[in-house]
Amino acid sequence: MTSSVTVARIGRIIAAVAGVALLAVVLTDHDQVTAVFGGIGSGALYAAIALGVVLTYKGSGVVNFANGATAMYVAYIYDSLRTQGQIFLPPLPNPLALVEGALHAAGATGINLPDWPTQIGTGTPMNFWPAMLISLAASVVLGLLFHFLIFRPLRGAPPLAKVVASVGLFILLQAIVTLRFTSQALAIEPIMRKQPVTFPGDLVIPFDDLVLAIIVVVVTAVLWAVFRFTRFGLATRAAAENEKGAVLLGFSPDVLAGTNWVLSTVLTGAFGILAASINSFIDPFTVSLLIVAALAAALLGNFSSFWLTTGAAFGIAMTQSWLGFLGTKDWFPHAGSGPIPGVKEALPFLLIVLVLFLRGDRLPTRGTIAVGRLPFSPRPANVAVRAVIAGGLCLLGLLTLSSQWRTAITITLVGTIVCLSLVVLTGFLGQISLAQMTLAGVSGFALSKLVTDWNVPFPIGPLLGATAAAVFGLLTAIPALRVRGVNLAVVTLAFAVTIETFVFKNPSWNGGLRGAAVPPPHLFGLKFGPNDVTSFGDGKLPNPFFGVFCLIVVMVLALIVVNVRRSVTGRQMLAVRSNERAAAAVGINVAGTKMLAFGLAAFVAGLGGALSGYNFGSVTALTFGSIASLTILAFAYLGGISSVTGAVLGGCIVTGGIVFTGLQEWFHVDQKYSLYVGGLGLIVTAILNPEGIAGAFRKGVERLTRTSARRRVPGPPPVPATEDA
Amino acid sequence: MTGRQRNIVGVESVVRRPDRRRHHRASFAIIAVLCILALALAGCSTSKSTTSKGTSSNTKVPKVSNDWALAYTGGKAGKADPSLAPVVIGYVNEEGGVPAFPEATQGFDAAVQYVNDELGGIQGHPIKVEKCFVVANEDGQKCGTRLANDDNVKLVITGAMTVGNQALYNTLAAKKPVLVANPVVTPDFLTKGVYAYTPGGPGVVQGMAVFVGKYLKNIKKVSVIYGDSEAEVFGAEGLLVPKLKSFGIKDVTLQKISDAPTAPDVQNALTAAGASSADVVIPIVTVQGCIATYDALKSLGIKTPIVTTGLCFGTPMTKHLADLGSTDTVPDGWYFGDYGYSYFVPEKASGMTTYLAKIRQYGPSNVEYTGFAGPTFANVMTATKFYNQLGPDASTTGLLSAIKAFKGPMMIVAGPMNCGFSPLFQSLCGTQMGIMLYKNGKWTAVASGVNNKPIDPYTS
Repeated sequence: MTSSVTVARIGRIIAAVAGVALLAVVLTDHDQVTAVFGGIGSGALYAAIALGVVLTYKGSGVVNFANGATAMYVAYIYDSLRTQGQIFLPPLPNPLALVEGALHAAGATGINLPDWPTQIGTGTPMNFWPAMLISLAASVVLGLLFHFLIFRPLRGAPPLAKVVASVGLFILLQAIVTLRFTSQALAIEPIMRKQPVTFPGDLVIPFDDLVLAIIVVVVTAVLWAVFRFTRFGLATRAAAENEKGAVLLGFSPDVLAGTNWVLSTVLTGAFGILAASINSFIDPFTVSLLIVAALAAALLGNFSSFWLTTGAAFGIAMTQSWLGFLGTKDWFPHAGSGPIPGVKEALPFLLIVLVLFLRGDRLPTRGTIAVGRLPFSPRPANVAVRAVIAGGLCLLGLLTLSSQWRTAITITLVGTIVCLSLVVLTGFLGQISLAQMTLAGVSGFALSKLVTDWNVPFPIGPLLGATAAAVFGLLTAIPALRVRGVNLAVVTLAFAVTIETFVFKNPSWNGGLRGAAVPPPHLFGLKFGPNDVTSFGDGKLPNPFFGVFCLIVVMVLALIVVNVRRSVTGRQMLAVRSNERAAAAVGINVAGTKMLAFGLAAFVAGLGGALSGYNFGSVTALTFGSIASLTILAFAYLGGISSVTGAVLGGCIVTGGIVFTGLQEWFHVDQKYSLYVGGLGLIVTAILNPEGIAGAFRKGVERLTRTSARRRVPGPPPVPATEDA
Repeated sequence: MTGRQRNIVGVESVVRRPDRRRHHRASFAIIAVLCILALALAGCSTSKSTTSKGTSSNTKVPKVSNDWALAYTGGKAGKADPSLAPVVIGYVNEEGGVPAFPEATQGFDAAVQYVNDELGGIQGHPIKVEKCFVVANEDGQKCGTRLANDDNVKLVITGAMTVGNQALYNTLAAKKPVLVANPVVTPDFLTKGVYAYTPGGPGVVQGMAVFVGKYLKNIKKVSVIYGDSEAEVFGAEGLLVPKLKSFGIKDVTLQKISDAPTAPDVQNALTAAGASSADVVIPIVTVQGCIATYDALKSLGIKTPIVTTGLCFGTPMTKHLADLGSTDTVPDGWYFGDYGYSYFVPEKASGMTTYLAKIRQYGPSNVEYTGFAGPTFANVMTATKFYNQLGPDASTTGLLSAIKAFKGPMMIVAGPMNCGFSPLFQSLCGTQMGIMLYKNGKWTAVASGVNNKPIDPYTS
C-alpha cells in the first residue's frame, strides 16, 4: 500500500516537472504561444457544456450525453424567436389522425381533421432580451421535463439505463430539430462583435472567445461558491455522496435533482445561445457533438469539481490547438501530404485514459438510495425449439420474401451479431461499452486490408479480422480492470474516438482515395455476395444466400453465447456483474473474467463488422464511428441487453432492419421519423421496461404460464349448496 | 418536519412502485403504440417545416422562352400526354437525416415538372420518378436493390450524397446507368459505371490550385484549411497540394478541422496554418466552415486573399452578412471556384437563364438555387435529351452508350464532356472549371466560361 502511494507520488512529481519543462519550452516560442492560446475559444465551449454535465451528475447521478444537444435545442428556440417570433413544437402524435385514417380507409377521403400546430407565438420577430428570456424560460421547462418525465423515474435504475435514456434524449432532440428546420445550417445573428483583441507580444484572441471564456470562468466560480457555501449546494453534495444520509438530514433528493436539472438546462441553454452566436450559425450537430470533449473534461473533473472540469476543458482544447500547430512542422509524422490524422483528437483522450487508469480506484461512485440492478439475465430455456422456429422463419423469409425484405433481414442479422457482443459484455458482465461498433470497424477495416492487399481468402479473412477486433477488445479491457460504470462508458467512448481518428481515417488503413473495399465472399468457386446474381427464387438482388450465410453465423454465435450463459464462465461473469469484491472473495478471477468477456465480445462484434463490410461492399469511418457505437448500444438495450432473444430483437430495430422496413411499408411512417421514433422508443423503454422488449415478452409469457397453471390446479371440491351452508 | 415527511413519502414511493408500475407500463405501452400509429397516420401533416425564410440572392433574371430548353432537350413545346406510358427515372438523394440535401431534390422536381409541363415530356410520354432517400449506409444498399430490381427504371440520377454512395453503386453500377449530379465523395469520382457531367470536386480543387499558381502573382505561401471528410481530405492533401507544388509553391501549410467545426476550431486552424502571413488562404469546407472562416478572419484581423469553392455561397452566408450589417451576398474580395458558369452572372448560352427562371417558377419560394439544385436540374434536362434521341423505350444499354458518348455542351457546365478521360477519376466527364471574383458588390469572371476563359486543370 505504502509503496503504491510512493510510486503514485513519484509519478505525479515527474509529470509535474515534465509539464513545467514543456510549458517553459512552449512559452519561449511566439508561434507556439499563439497556437496554445488559440484554444481558448474551444476550451470555453467545451467547459460550457461540461459544467452542465457535472451539474446534472451532482444533482441526479445522470451523465447527460444529451447536454450538447440541449444547448443546440435552446439555440434553435432562441433563433426562431428572434427571426419569426415563434417557438417551435415537437411533432406530436395526433389522435385525430387515427380517426382521419379510418375515415379515409372507409372512403371518406375528402375529410381533413385538424393537426397540431407546429409552432406558437406572435409571429413578430423579437429583440434580443425578450428572446433570451423566453429561451431561458423554455430551458427551465426542458429541465423540468427531463427530470420529471425521464430521469426521476430512473433514479433507482442502473447507470446503463440512464446512459441509454440520455442517448435517447440526444437522438430525440436532434430529430425534432431536423424535422422542424431540416439539418441545413442556419445563420444566426451574432450577439458580440467580431473583432480581434491584441495582447502584449502580438497575441491575438477574438473578442467573443475572450468574453465567453471570462463568462465560463465566472460561472465556474459562482457554481463553486454555490456548492461550497449555500445550503442548497451543500445538500446537493451530500446527496451526491450519500442520498440516504441526505434524506435523513431532511433533504429531498428529488427536489435537489430537479433543481439541478433546471440549473443545468438554463446554464446549458444560455451557453448554447452564446455558442451559436460565436459560431454565427446553428445546425443540429455541431454543438451537440461537443459532448465528447465535454465528457472528457467532466471525467477529469471527477464529475464533481467545477474548477477541475473547466481547467480540463481549457487544457484539452489548448493542447489540441497546440498539437494542430505542431502538425504543420516538417518533423511531425505525416501520412501523405498531411500530418498524421487523429493526433490532436486522440492524444488528449489517451491521456485521460491513462489518468483514469492510474487513479481508477479513487473515482467517486454515487451513493444512491436504491442501486438499480442491471436487467435480469435469464438462463436460456428451450434453446433448440426457439432456434429452429426463429431460424426457420428467417430462412423462409430470405428464400421467399421480396428483395426489400431480404435486404432488411440481412441488415437485421448483422445488427443482431453486434447486439450479441453487447449481451456478453454488458448483459452478462455488466460493463458499459460505447466502442462496440468501433471494434466491429476494426475487423471490417482489417478484413478490407487482408482481402484487397494480401488476397487472404474467405473465410480466413473475416476470422482474422475478428481476431484483430478481439485484440483491440483486450486493449479496451485494460482500463476496465480499474474503471467501471459510467466512467468506463466515457473511457470506451474516448477509445472509440481515438480508433476512429487514428485508424479509420488514416489513409494507410482506410484505403485512401479508393476507400476500404470489401470484395464479395466466395468459397469453392461459389459466389454468394449480396450483389452476386443467382437464378434461385426471383433472381433479383440481393442474393438470398448471403442472407443465409449471415443466418448461419448468427445461429452459431447465438448458440455460443447461450452456452456461455449456461456455463461456469457465464455464472462467473454474472457474479462479477453483481459484485466484483464478492466474486473475488469466492475465488473468481475477476480480471481474467473481464478480459475473457471483452475479448469474446470484441470477436463477436468483429464478425458483425466483417459481415457488414461484405454486405455493403466497403467499410467507412462513418459506419463504425463513435456515434454508431452509441446508437447500437441503444438498440441492444431496447431489444433486451441481457439475453440472446434481446439481441435478436435489437437487431430487428436497427436502422434499415425489419422493424423500420415494416413501419415504412405497412404504416407509411416516413423515413425522416425513424430517428424521432427511435429516440422516443429508447427513452420509453429505459423508463418503463429496463429489460427491453425481450424482457417484457418473457414476463408476459411467464404471467400467462402462471395463470394457466393456476387454472389447471384443481381447487377444493365444490360444496353442495345446502340450507346449512 | 415537513421535509422529512416528504422524504419518507418519497422513499415509500420507491418501495411501492412495482405494483403501480405494472399498470403504468401497460397503459404507457398502449399509449406508445397509439402514438406511433397516430404519428404514422399523421404522416407529413405534423411535420410542416418551419425553415426560416431564406434570402436567396436577388439576381434579376429576365423571363425566358423555352427556345433554349427545347433545342437542348430536343423536345416539343407543350404538355406531356398523361395517357401515354410514363418514362420512369430513378432518383436517389440524401435526405431525412444529418446532413441532408433537399435542394438537390428541389432542382430535380422542378426540372421534371418543367419537362412534363412545357417541353412535351419525352416524345409526349410524361416522366415519372421512383424516388429513394438515404440517411445511412444501409439505405444506399436498399435504394440500389430497389432500383436495380425495378425493370421500369432504366436510368438513375443521384442528387447529392455523403453516405451510402458506395453501397448504392456496388448494387447498381454496371447494371443500370447512373448519372451523378453532384460528385461530393470519393465513390462519386472513382466508380466505374457511374457518370458525372461536372468536373466535380477534383476538377474544382485542382482548378483553384491552377488559378493560385498561374493567375495570382508572387504567391509563395498558401494556407489550406479543410474538413475531415474523405473528399475534403483527398481534395486538400491529394489534389491541391501536389498541384500547387507543380507551380513552384512549396510553402503550403495544411490544417484539418472537424466535419462539424465551431468558429474557435476554424480560428485555431487559421492561426496554426499561419494564415496571417500567407499570400492566399484556401478553405475547402462546408458552409458552416465558410461562415466560421469569414468570422475568424475578422476576429483575428487577417486580410489575406481567399480562394474557395461554391460551397461558400448560399442563403446562410448571405443572411450572416446581412446580420453583420453588410449588403453583400458573399464575402467581399473572395474568389470562388465553380463549374464554369455563374448563378450570379446568368447568360443564355449555357442554359443558366433558363435554369434560374424555371427553378424559381417550379421550385419552392425559398429554393436554395445556388447549391446542388443546379447540376441536378441540368442532369434531368440532359437525361431528357438522351431519351428524346433514343425514344421512350430506350434500353439501359442504349442509354449507357449515349451517356458515354455525350461530348457536351452540358447545361450550366463549362467545357466539353469526355467521360473516362481520367484513368483515376473514372466517373468524371467534365474537365473545366471557373473562377469568379466578388468585389464591391459586383461579380467578375476572372477565368470562367462566362468570359470564355475557363480553367482546365488537367491540361494546365
